Order: sequence, then C-alpha cells, then structure tokens
Amino acid sequence: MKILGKIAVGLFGLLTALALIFYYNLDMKLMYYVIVPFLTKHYDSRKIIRKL
Amino acid sequence: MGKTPFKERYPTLKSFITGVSPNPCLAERYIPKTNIYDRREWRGVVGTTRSFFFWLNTWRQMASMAMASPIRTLKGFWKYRWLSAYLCTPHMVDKWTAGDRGIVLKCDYVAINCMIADTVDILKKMIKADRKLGENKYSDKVIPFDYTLARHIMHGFPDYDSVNINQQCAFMLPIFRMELGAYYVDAAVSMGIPQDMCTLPLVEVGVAVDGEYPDLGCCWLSTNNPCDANMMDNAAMYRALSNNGAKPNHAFTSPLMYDDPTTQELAVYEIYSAINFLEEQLGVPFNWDSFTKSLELTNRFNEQEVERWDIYASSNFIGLNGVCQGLFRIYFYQQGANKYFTKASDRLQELFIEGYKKKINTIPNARHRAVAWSCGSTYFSHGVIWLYNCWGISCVINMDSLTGHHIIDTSNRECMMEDVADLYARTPMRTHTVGGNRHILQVFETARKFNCDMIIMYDDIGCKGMAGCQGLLEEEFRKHSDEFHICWMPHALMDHRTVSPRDARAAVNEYMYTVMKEEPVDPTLVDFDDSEGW
Repeated sequence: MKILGKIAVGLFGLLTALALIFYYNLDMKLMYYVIVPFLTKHYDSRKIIRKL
Repeated sequence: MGKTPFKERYPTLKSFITGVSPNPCLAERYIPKTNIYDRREWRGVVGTTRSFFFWLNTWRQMASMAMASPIRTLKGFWKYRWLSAYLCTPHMVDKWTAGDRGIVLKCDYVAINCMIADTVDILKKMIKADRKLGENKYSDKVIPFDYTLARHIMHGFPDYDSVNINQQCAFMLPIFRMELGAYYVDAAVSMGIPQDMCTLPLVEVGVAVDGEYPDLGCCWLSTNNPCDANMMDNAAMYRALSNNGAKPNHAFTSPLMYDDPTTQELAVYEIYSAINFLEEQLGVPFNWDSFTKSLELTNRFNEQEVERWDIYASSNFIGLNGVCQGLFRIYFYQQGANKYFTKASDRLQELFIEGYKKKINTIPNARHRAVAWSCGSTYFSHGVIWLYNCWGISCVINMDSLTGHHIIDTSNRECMMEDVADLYARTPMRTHTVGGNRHILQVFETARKFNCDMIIMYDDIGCKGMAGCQGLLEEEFRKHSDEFHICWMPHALMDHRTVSPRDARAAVNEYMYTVMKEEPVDPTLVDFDDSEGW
C-alpha cells in the first residue's frame, strides 16, 4: 500500500509539474528563447556551398 | 497594452468554469511582439484539461519519432534547418485552436492529431531512410515523390513506403515558423532565381540549393505541378532529388485543362506510364488489389467529407474551424487514405452527427458566413481563426478543401483509371485556379451552396496566374455585390516579409470598419505586433 501511495504521490507531482509547464507555455518559451536561437546559430555558422 | 482585469474577463463563475468569456482578450495572452502565448489559453476546466492531455500526447508522439532512431534523429536536427521547424509543433496547435471551445475543440484535436501522427510517421521513415545520415538498406524500400502528386498509385506497391519529400522539407515550414520560409526564399534568390515568382517553389529551391533534401529511394517521381511558376524550380529540384541525374526520374504529368474531354486519354496514359516506371525501378509488379482497396478507403473518406459539407451548408454546426477544416482536407488529399485518416474521419463523423442532431451552434459570435477563395497563406494559415475571433467572420469552407472529392468507380478498371486521372488533376490550387476562368468563378456558386454572405478573397501577390485574373474578378464582384460582401486579404504565401500577418489583418480591418461599419468582437485582436513571432 505504501508503494502504491508513493507512486500515486509521484504521479500527481509529475502531472502537476507538467500542467504548470503546459499552462505557462514553458516548452515553447524554451524553444523560442534557447533551443531555436541555438540551432539557428549553428545552422548559420556552417559553411554551405550552394549549388543550383 | 494593459491587461484586462480578471473580473472583466470572467464576470461569473460559470464563465470561468466553461471558459466562455464575454471579453476573451486573446491578444493579451501573447508575449509582446510575438504570437506565442505567455500563458496558454484558459478554455474552462474541461477544455483546458483536454488541451493539456492533447499537448502531452503531442510531445509523446514527437518523442517517439526521436526514439525510433535517436542517433540519426540527432544528426538530422544538426544537419537540416527545416527539421527544427517541427520542434514548434505545440505552438502550431495553439495557433490552430485559438478560441476553440466544446465540441469544436474536440473535432479540431481529432483532425490535428491525425495530421501529427501521419507527419511523425513520414519523418520517421525519412530519417530512417536518409543516406546522408548513414547508409542503410531501407532507403531502397522508399519511393520519394513530389508532394503535389497525391499518393494513390504508391499504394499499388504495398511493400514500399512512399514519402512526399518536399511537403515535409519545404511546404510545411512557414506553418510552424514563418521566418523559415523567408530564409529559404533568400537561399533560392541568392542563386539567381527571380524573387518575384511564387514563393512556394522558391522555398523548395532554397532547400535544394542548401543541399538539405534527404537522399532516399532509388528513383524520383516528379510532376508538372499545379502552376507555371513551378517551371522555375523544375531543374533545381531535378538535380537535387535525382542526385544530379544519378537516380532515374519520371515526370508524372497531369492535364491543366482537366475538364476538356480530349485530355482524358492522355491523363490515363500518364498514370500507366508512371506505374510502368515504378515497376521497372522497383522490380516488382503493381498490386492492383492493394491499389483498389486504397481507393475504396479514399471513397469512404470522401463520402464522409461530403456529408460533413452538407452539415456545414445547412446548419451552424461548423465542427472544424477554418484552418483545421482546410488543412485536414488538403493533407488527406495529398496523403491518400491510410489508417490515420480513416480513423479520424470515422470519429469526426460521429462527432458531426452528434453535434448536428443536438443543433449545436458552434459559431455563436458569427456575424458572417464566408467562403475563403484562392490560395491561402501558409505563414498566416491561422488567419481564418483570427477572422472569426476578431470580426465574427466564420470561414465555413475554403477553395482548396474542394479538391478532388468525387467517388471513384472501382467496379471496372477502365472507369477506375479515368476517375483516378480526374482525381489527380483536381489537386489543391489546380482545381480552381487553372484550366479556364470558369473554375475560379465557381466562388459564387460555392458561396451560395454553403449559405455564405461573404467572400474572403485571398490575394497572393506573387501568384502571376491570379494577378492576371484580378480585373476579371473585380468585374464579377461588382456584378455580385448585392449578394455577397467581398473582402480582399493579401499575403505572400511563404514570405511573411512581403505581406506580414499584421498587414493582412490591416486590410481586413479597414474593410470591416469602413465598408461594413462593424465593430470587432475582440478589440485586442484588431492590431497587435507579432513581427517577432512564429
């Protein structure tokens, strides 16, 4: 029973954390402010030989 | 912009619990200068919970894509700029469902989930098959084909997977992040391609000149594409996708004058010709049973779709919002019937019948029922939702939804092939904007059928074909001015710098204030800066 209780509490905590990420749009804020700029910097720094 | 106090947004407990607010103030939710939510939309207890679990499922599907081949996926993200667009999928879902409540939210999620599942499936195959990410045997089991070709004949090779390569690598990009369209336009223009042609082939060429198309399959099935602007991109696409001629290429052409009976024979011949090409390249015979079965599934989807249109036409149960309705339909046309679309269509049918029987009015704020005509923008595909949320203009149907939807007679092969040829000819854009001006003028008949009082006329300023029709259209609009309100909405298809979403909104705002003398449903949406958004 104790283990089940711990699992239930853990799941509840996880769902709450995910709900907060969802509501405050933290996933897309991370993309907008960190991931996309980082990737764009990487893509821009590559030497591309364009061919038509 | 000052924020509207909570009490004004939700004056009663009921309005908070249901999420139906008299002052939704949607634009106040955005991070300044973007269209990205600071806090996601409150849709009431049930609606927000539904959105939360949909969001979780979206990330689950995206994670499943990465986990299918983690190393190759990482390499892909490092190598291909276009692939980074898909990281913003949850934002696309937010854009496409802004203001949705109740059964519309349910229906929209069914349609979007289907498109996401199908896209994840294709991306998995592309990443797995791409030789640029590492040699593998699976690559030869994939047939790459141009995305303006529908998938139908590929179903005749059931042991092979098929990938409409430029849909994922080019067409979809500005839908996720508008600046990606601009980047690839610049890449193409830097190589001397004229900037003033249609921006869709420009983006396709941009991906080609940057060397970012995956290398998969043993051949390349191209097409003549729906409009002559694509003539510019044929050579670049051929070189990029055939590895400079190393892979055999076949152009599966389709007549533009599709309702001219003299083109029918040629159209059927072209299908057989494409099938023969694939049989030779793959070394396996065409499986007619599998092909016929897929067409029967396509028929089933189209029968259900037409029933849904009947509901749109005869009631205020507009189960899918404008953007979901349009893109789900176009996406289906391109992909052909598969497990995702069959399942989604069945579920939508249940929801539509339920909503129709209960006489649910899904567009309580609607002042106008509109048909959206001509080619819509990609980077502002969600413009139709803005029209409803801001001005109460409900886009009941749009031009590209009405692509090939006739039922194919599968009882004998001759009839079946004639019907399939016709289906191939009636692709998005091609159905109404080529083959004679009578097609584009079907706008009035369509508006009447769908019980509309307004026409939103997209003005893709890079489309030479439609620019040529401008005078004719203006003349016809004047003849129908007592029957319909007609509003031009400009855009530049894939390049938001030429006509920004704000510019497009300004054109509609001006019409609604000065011609219609109306006030907005949500004043915060009238003019806001989203220039640094996606």
